[in-house]
Amino acid sequence: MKKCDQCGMQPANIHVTHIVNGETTMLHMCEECAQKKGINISINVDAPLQIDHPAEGPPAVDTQCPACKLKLSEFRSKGRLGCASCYAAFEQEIDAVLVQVHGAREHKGKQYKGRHKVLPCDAEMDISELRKKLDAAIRNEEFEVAADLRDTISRMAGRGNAARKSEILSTKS
Amino acid sequence: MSVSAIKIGEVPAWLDAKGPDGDIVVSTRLRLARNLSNHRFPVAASQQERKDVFEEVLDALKRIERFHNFTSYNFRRLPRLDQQMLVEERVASPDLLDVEGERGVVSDSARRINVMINEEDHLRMQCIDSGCGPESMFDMLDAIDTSIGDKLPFAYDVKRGFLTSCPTNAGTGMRVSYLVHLPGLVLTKTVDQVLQAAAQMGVCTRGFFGEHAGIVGAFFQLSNQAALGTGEKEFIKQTRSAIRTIVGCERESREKIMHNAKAELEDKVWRAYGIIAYATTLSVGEFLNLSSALRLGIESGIFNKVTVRRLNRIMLLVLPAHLQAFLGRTMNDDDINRERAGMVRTLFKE
Repeated sequence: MKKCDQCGMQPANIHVTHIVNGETTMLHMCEECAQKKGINISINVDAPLQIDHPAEGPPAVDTQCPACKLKLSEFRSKGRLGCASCYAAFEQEIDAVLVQVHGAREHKGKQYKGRHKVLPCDAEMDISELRKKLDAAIRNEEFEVAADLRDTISRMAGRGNAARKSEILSTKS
Repeated sequence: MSVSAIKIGEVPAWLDAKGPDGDIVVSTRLRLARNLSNHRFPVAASQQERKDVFEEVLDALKRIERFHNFTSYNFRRLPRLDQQMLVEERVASPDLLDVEGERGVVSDSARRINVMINEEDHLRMQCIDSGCGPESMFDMLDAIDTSIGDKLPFAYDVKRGFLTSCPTNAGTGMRVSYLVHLPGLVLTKTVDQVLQAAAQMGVCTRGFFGEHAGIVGAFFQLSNQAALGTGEKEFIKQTRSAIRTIVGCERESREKIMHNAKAELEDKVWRAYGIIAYATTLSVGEFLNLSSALRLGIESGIFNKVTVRRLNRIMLLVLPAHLQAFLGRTMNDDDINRERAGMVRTLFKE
């Protein structure tokens, strides 16, 4: 086990992550040194799991996810993301949360080998945009991605894109 | 796959008291959170999109042989009481009650495997069984995950793994959760210390009824804090090791109590039985506290009027929704507490 950063003697079994302005530093300490630094390690068993967002208050620039239109400020207040594309849209903020909660930012578990590749959330994209992506996928010989895009386009065309847009807007109000 | 009403009287597998270390670990629950890459997460989706997801998932499950004998429950159409019964059976989460639109759960008759649709994530696959056996449960759930992932496009990226609505679940999307009964540690006042040590091993604590509830009846739910940065099997190993330590501490405490304070324990257990046998009103919290004492009494050889399995069955039957369904009418809390006491008195006389 890693030794305490403070005394260098005892095993470090308390790990503190500091995130200041997006900069992450880790402190590894033994219980005694942690207590000297005023870090309380007792837990409240009634407390629900909470995310303490690394940055409080409204963000300087309220970035928006291009796919689902969720704003960074909404993610901060609710702690929930709107779609898979949010992970790229709010990358820095999410990475800080991942480090805070998991102590890591990279997945080392199961590799997804489904026949579908990851697509951005296409719920709000126009059919014309999706068609462009379909052409690009065919050019790049990404046929599985192309097949998914083709299915999505035919589903949207079948239902009527205009009606879908108005319904999406009405649920937001 | 069929759609039907909920039956009373069938005990879910997680309450059969047959699993390993079942004297302390009541049940183990393993879940994987997954989302579809081509739809917004449920919280941001329109009603139409939620409906599309619901249908796509059901359609995919119908094409997997394993799900052929499962039952699907669409919460938008299911009566409130039936929804609550599924929550009490831990097939659905309390959060599934409150979200709007198309949502539901697909479950087997033993309640061992189920898939929630459109809760916080598009899919929450779950395996829940009695005792402490997460390894075999993971193998089962992993195979189910692979078969569903072959039919549906999961939101996944190589760096962050499976993408979830809340980043606390991202990565493996896995949570392994043990429902443990720790009366020995509570009585010897060492439970805080032991759970603090568990927290240092990456295990966090909740009450019997989940994230938003307090501790009742010395029941605790312990689960992995992190879901990213390590493989699924390693997370299971870590939590398993913490549970093994806790089980050891609990057994030691029980032995200590039997050695040093057997008379006091006997008194506590028989007093609990006295209240159960004669009370005319009982809240869920009070019943769980009393049944906790009886459970310890059974396991310590002090009390033998019922088995743990039967106690589990009674516990489920007297939860509010099951009780109202059994009696065939909805009631206010006071009436429920009176009926519960009456039901408990009758069941303990049998």
